[in-house]
Amino acid sequence: MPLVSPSRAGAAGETLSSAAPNQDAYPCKLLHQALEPLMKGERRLLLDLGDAHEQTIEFFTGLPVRLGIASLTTDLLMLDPQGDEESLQARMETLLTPEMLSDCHLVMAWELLNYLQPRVITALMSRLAELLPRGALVHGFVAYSMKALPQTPRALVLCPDGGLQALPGQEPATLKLRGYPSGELQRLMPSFYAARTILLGDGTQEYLFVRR
Amino acid sequence: MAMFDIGKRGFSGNQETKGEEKDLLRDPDGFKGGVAQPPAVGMARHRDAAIIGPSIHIEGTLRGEEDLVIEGRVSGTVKLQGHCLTVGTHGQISANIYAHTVVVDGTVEGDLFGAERVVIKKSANITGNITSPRVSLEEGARFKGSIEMDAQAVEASMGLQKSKSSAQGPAKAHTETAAPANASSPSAGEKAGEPDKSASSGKVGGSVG
Repeated sequence: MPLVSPSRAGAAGETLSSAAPNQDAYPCKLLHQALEPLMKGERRLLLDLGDAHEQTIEFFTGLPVRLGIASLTTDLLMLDPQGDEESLQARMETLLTPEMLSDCHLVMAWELLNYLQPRVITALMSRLAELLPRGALVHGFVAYSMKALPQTPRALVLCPDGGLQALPGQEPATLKLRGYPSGELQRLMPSFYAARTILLGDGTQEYLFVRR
Repeated sequence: MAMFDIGKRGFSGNQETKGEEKDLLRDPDGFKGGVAQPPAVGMARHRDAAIIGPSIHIEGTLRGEEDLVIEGRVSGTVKLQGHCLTVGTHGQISANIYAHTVVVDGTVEGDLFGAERVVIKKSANITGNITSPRVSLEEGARFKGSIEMDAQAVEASMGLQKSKSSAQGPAKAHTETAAPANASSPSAGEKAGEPDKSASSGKVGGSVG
């Protein structure tokens, strides 16, 4: 089903599927699914856990959206996975505030989960579960058959066709992939379930998690 | 009372400039080789804009009826209804900003309300929320906060701002009770910004402390 964007300024009737497809971009069917109400004109509150990027902001311009930019990648990667649970939780409470997440419909984690240690994933998802309303979504990618990843998550941006594209200048893939099978992910985030997953051709799996 | 100086620079005048102020006038957006250049889309109109220089520190509410470039430090609230505010590369703002167009090259900690547009340049570093119908951000800019792009929510916020700007005095401003569209409401910002009593209306200025 085409995603219609009736309210986008100067582009009434625009559909994501009608925009020229970007060959280098992830197709992201589950992200499209999560954004469908927004593209139909329903107000949505979104939170991007990563940094602010020109193209992503441009994508949402003219839509009935409040886009939060948490810019948390570096902070989350620096969390000590060996630290005690209380300090991990306290840090998570500082990083993710109720103002960012209350009433939020969709959290965009993208490649972040690949880079977090299991205890950090649990702490992150527990904090999200505390603040997100029931039914809220978390979108992300989990690598399953790559040998290595770049040292830090790539900067992904939304293209006009709704695909996700990595900005140029990414590091070579030298970080050994830890890999999270879906069963382990489920164990690490008991307050969420994977509504749908799609295997992508490059050894990545697209996930849409739902807050129980 | 802190000393401050606001230099208004006529575009075609032959005013002599010294030191840091001279640097400001070398801004490539408005001045190229001494020849006037039309402002690019989304750029501040430096032409005829008042300038707060890098050595100036203002605390309180800054109001104005003309375009303004801030290269110094401002804490409190900045209100330039209907005009353009540019936070220059040296500018350090700890304030909520209300303007027709806001262009940020420097550092801002506070909420930004742009009735027409907010432009974030790549050298900007912003922590706060943005409410504006049009927001553009250059790749490389650092931003942490939320961007309200919902036309209705933006209109509600801006409508509230208009009614506030027409209020004649702090008592009326403080009695505004209209509900904002979101948590990052102007009224909340007002309270955080404080002290309205020091505002000097009609002309850019106002320094307390």
